[in-house]
Amino acid sequence: MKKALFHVPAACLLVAAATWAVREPAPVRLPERQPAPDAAQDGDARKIAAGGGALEAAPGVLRLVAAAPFTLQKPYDHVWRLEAPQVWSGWLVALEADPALCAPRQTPEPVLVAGLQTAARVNHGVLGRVVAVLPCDERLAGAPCAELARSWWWSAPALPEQLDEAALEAARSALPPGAIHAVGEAEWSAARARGGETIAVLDETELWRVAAAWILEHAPEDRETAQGLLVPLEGR
Amino acid sequence: MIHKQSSLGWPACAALALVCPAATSQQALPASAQALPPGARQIAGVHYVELAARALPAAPWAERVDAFWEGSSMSLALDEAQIARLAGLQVDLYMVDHKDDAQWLANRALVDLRGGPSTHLVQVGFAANVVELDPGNIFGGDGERLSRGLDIVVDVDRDGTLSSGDCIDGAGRAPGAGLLKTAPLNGPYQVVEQIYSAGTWLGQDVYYPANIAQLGPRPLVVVSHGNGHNYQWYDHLGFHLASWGCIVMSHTNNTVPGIVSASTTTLSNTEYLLANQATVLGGVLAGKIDRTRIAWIGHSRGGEGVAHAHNRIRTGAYAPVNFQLSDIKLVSSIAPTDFLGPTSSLALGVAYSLWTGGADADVNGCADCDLCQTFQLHERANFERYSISLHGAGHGAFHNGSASTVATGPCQLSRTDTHLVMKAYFLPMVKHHLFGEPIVEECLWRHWNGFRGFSLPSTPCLVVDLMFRPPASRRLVVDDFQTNPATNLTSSGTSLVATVTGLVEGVFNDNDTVFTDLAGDPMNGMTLAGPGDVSAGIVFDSAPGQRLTFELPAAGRDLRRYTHVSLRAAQATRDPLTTAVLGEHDMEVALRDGAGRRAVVRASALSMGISEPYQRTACGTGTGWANEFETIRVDLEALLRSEPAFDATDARSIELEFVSNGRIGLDEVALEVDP
Repeated sequence: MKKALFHVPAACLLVAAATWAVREPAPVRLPERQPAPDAAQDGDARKIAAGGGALEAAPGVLRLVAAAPFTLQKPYDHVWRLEAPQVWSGWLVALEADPALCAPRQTPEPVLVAGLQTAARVNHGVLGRVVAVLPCDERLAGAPCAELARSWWWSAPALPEQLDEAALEAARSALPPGAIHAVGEAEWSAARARGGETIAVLDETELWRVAAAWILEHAPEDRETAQGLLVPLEGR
Repeated sequence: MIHKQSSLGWPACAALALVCPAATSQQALPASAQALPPGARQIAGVHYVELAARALPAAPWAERVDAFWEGSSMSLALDEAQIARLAGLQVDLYMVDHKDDAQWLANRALVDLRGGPSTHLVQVGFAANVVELDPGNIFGGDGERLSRGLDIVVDVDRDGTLSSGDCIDGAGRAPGAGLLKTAPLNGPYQVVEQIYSAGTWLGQDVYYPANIAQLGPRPLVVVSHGNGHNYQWYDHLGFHLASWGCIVMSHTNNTVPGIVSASTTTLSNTEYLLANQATVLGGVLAGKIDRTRIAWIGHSRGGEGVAHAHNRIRTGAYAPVNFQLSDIKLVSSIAPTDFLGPTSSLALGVAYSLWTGGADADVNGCADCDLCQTFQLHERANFERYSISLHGAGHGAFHNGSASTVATGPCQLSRTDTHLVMKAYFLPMVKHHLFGEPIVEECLWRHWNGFRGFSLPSTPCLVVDLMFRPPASRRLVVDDFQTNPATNLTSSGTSLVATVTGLVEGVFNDNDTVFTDLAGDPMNGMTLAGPGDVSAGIVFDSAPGQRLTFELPAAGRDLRRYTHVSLRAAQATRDPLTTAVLGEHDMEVALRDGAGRRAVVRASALSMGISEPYQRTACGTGTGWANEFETIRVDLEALLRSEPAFDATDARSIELEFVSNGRIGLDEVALEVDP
């Protein structure tokens, strides 16, 4: 038997579009999950030549291409930071970044951050075109949800699941001038226009399927990632 | 090979006339004459002995092995006891399909697989009684079994039946030998591949035998990909292992956040498939997944993730719902990272295997990056463990995506070649641990020089280095250097006498950030341990005639309990003694008894040696990558053949004598017994 056919992206977009509604992200929820008790690091003098040590500045977000708010009926845990807060709303974005910072590797990678919130990269962005989910969490992210997606930067290489608010704050404080890409009004307006209205979907799965369609639109070189997200759903 | 299941005392006894005088008497010995294990003497008067062997062109003339690749020569070697008993007699030699004792009792007719027996005139002298049974004409495998079980029989009275006075290697529960199907080739089943998703991080690419409806429950192999990889990049494993009877599921793996997240997806996908087997994919897998036989294979961050997932269950941090810890029979990490270190990234109490690519440009193994050093996970594993290192293999060569192989260094292996090697080793691992074919364990430690199967790449660039350690129940550690750090004392409390120079004992952790050969870094090139790890051993300069003499503990003096002397060794990278002569490093492995008699064999005589490091640059100045340990397991019977008067009940020491100059790392000197 051959591999199952992928859903065509256009169909996915139509399904997603039918569920969109015109509204801004919903209120945030407090973090409810703590890191696994066995996730502690050794903390001794491990050699990490690939750059995973203390957070340092690594500018590299070039442009916000598209942004759309999303809301969920069922939350999920944002495991891309240590506190793993629940996600009910946020921004789906497409942006252009320095490809060197996006290249996948097994050693620590730069972490994409907006405000003080880590973004979940849905694709790596081998050519620098990244689709990401940015959860709104005002308490953790330190900025109103509507403003969160207008301040982008890269942390030094690290594992996102090991970064907490304090680590991100320290990293941002250490950034050199110009390291944060502040999204201006014109850029924001254009990105919002491309992103469209609020994406109102059931849960993380539906959100990521919309994101997969965005990958096909904004970063087609990563279509394999998108296709992997768009395989037929079972058990739902 | 009855001894493999029920007796540690008998096989060497059978091989040594001096310590088993009764074995030299005439045919139809009383059952009590030989120290046979309980339950092994089902057929009175039959001599249960080791016969299957690999012939060697020079002394010791033969090596006792059980596994033979189809297409390769298979021989019989009579031991000294049988030679003494049968000298001058013409006998018939049979290769027959394996039968257990009950089957032999029910039907003793000998039906030779070659169409008829060969004959042999038993002569004085061991070499004259090493006889080729088959040059490679008989096909191996048996349905979905990798090995075709054989019994080897010497029909002394030439009556065409197994009867009193005959010799047999086999019977009991285990065959005397196994004829192996060519491992990289697909197995007997057509394979169906289907992809589905049950939600984010529950995308699964599933492979299963097309005739699964007619099969019983199947073992489950779960594949967890690496960072930036894709769950659909493991067709080479999925199709191959499913064709041999597994259900293989490769899943989306949440690797970007980190190792905890990756381990969570390994767990959640395993849980999901087990919980929903009745409904997913139209219910085709309903009742077909044997949850008690699971293997986890992870690549890169996923390779660390599977070890961490196992550890989460073991430590109680995660409580599985649809399976339990003991259901995980094998954990395998391909080029794994080591972010979480010694307390979190480890698989304890389970068979563990490691894959390392010498040309890996991502998890690169350089001294400056602890989380890039694959061997650390291997060293933490405390049960049966294997390490397979491929010179020239890049990080991306282990998957079948279209992206780069992420390789740097000379003599790089293609994806195709790498996958052939993966199949050649993964299949025996899976057959051993998920299907219960212990005879294929030999595939995982025997050196290619003497045991290379077919359908493997012919490129000279392909160098495979193996480490193997059986479970503690099958070995007596003489010195693993984990305790008693004095260089004149073994970890078992006995003496170590060294005439080598520059000997240093310590943790196998390069103490700087380069592989440059520098004074003050005796452990240069060692990446088996990182901070917090304890794997230790010795390094030293060797010269011809120099020795290391390990006094045997009391429990090791009676060699009849064991089948092998084992050690692992590596050449030290970039040391002038290594770079002066690039090639296999040889040594003599010897035993000395209480009367001072010395039995010795060269590793090279058994087709074994220690490879030079992969000739890769960077990570400092010089050429040569991380030190790659290889296990050398010397067949005790072959070793003792050099000194017929050796008292195998009173061995006193293991001696390693070096035959050339070199800078050597050494560890895990032990006596072992086969399964």
